[in-house]
Amino acid sequence: MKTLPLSVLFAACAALSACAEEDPAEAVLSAGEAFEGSASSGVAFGGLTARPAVVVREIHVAGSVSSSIAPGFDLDSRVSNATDREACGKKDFTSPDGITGIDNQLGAVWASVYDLAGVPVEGLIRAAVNDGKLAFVVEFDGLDDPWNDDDVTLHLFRGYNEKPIIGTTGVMQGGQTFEVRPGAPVVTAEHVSIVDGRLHLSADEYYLDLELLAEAFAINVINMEFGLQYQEDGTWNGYLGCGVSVAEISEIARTYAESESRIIIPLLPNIADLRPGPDNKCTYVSAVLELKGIDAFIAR
Amino acid sequence: MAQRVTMKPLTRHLNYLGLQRIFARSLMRNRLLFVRLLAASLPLVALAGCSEESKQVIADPDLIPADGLLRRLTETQFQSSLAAVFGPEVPVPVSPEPDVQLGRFLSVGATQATFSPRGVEAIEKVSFDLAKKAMENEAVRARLVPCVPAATRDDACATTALVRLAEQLWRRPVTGEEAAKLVDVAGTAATTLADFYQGLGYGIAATIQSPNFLFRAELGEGEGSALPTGRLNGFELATRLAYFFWNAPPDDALLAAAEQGLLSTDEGLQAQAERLFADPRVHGGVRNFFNEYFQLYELDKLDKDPTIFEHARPELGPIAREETLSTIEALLLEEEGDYRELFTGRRTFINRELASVYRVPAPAREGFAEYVYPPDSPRAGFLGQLSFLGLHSHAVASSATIRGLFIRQRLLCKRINPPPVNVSTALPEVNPDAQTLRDRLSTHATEPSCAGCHDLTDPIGLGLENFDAMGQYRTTDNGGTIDPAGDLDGAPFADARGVAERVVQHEDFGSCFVANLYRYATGHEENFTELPILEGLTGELEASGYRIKPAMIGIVMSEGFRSASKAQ
Repeated sequence: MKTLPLSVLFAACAALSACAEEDPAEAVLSAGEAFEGSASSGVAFGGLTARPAVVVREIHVAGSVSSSIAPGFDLDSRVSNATDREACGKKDFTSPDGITGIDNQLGAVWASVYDLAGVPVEGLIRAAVNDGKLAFVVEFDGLDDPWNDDDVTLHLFRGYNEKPIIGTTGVMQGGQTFEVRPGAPVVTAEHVSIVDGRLHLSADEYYLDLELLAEAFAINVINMEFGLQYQEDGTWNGYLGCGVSVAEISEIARTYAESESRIIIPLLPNIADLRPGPDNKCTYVSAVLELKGIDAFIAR
Repeated sequence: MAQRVTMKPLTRHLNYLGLQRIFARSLMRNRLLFVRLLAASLPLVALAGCSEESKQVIADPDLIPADGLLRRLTETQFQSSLAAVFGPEVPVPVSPEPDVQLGRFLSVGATQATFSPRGVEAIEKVSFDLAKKAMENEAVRARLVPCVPAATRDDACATTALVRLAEQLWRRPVTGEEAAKLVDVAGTAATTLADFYQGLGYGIAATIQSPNFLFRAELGEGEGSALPTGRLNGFELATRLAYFFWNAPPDDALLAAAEQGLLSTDEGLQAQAERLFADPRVHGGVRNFFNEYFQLYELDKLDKDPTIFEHARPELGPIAREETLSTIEALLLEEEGDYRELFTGRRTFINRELASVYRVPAPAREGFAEYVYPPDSPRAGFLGQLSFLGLHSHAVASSATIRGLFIRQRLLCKRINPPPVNVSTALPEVNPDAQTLRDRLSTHATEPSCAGCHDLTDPIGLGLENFDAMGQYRTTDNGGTIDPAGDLDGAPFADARGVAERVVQHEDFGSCFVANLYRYATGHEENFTELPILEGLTGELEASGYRIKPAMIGIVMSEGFRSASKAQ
């Protein structure tokens, strides 16, 4: 049996990638000042069409700020309290900017497990991102203005770059060219609006496609919410929230991290807050990732 | 016009070689080491006889030839010269003496370069190391020694090998006396070491350490020569021609042409120049010219603040240089295109790293490949490349003054004096009233002591302000909107591409290129009698549509290229 450290499991929760609901579409992409000249296209890799995109270069598990405040999204469209059976009695948070109903139960326990698993998890994620194995890409189609645009198509997928260039800050430097990872699922969201530099999209069902320590995983996630905020310096920061299957994570723990599974498996049902089953026990755990993205190109 | 000039002591080079010190020290060493030192010193004597005065009667009576030169091989020439003889099987050492620049040219600085005592010791070491490796490598040894020694000391075989080698390294025939001394060094060492090839290695090392190898003699013919006095002799001309076109030594065909006297005729010289330009080695020569002309060698030290620029990796400088040189090769050699397009064209050659810096799609997964900027791209030509934008900036910020200075001095040949020592060159700190560099430089425009020079540089550099010190495009600086509009000597431009257009349209652009190419080729800055030559060459450049081939051949055919005053 292959054995992975506990940190891999947390990283698996932390490293979401888009999944396929429909075939990838050709995207004509543009972005803001970060891209020179004609924003719509370019030529890459000996003739392939290249379009601007954003690649996530930093992923952190977003922990709660306090017992009542945490970043994230309202994944289940409910403001839950301790008596809400749909959330298995897990009280929702309020976001730092005052939005109620925030689901981020992993973030609530993150601080308590950080000493045990947080540091290796962060390192594992960072290594995977810097190795190009977790090159989470958002490709734009028809973006005229990164600050305000009422009709943009987005393609989300795990990109491919055999050897990303790491800049002086220790993360992938901006402006690099990626490809669609062969076989990677791509999700397309049409008619997305960007208001004041904020873009947001939702999807009910996805599966996680990731690779950590040379192991490939595929994990179902639900209620995904994805939001990015364009910054003055041309970067994109934001969050990704979703529900992660308790059963799948537990199975992965048993399969790849037998010793650590004794810690993780009992923890997950206790923090599960989404999609209660016939026994009224929730089957998914809400988790939120903080994302920092930089401009990139996608060659197709 | 006859010219009488006084000889500068060529022996200054020999003095710097520290011969007296070497010989004194040798007395305290064993016999073998003495042979080594003898090997190092013997050929030095050969050049000492040059120090005589002579009246100059030259082919062009209106031309005062430049002083005769001893040009130390530059670092790249040192390596290319050894590689041409020893081949790829043995690693060629790096020159132990760093290049010297004069007028920003390393090839001109070479006329002033000598060897330090430490450099002499280093040359000795690398010479023996290379000779040893050559003799230990069967393929190289077979190539260098086309005979089988009959005994441990076989002077006939050693003569065959060493004369051939010396003629290649020294770029001229070897006299009987020179050959005898080299063979004696090899024979003595072979006897001591009881090995022919080890002994021959001493002869090879002596050949490499010789100033006949380390220096390119371009002294011109004196009285009594069959050539007009002031003309370079055939081998000097062949050497100047080869290093100009190839940055490498003359090949056998060129040396043969020199020996046959073909280079003393216009037809013979032109034929050889055409042949050299058609040879792939011309890429090495043209690359080296632009490496020096654009000071791209300084990119090895490209230094940007990594806390400001995330792309500031150490390898970026050499990568940026390769972009420029690849673009030049494609434009000027492969297409024999218009030199002005180097500044205005939208095509370049970049790799993934540079594509990331420029925020454009990478044209290839590995290595450099062609990339064409879209028509609305703000970036074009050399002035839009990191090699220019980054090199002529500070580590933390762009500099309109430094960029403008390069364009004025290097591309338009305008002399601009350095700022007076008692003047503060510091700019005001960024403040709400002065966010952009244009705002902060306004002090220079209003201060009379500054404006005289800054008016020549800053308006040009400010036109390039849309590119930061890392060559990345921007529209704001410290929150203020950048206004790149300006003018070059009254010709208005709106942005960086406009700057490039105005530069190549400037009346001094063509003549400045010709002057720099001429200086590089001849190793000196032109004197007033050479100005008509440059005017003619400029006219030819313009008539040819700014092609480099006729420009280079035109220089070779000029009297200035073929002449030198033997006495200084």
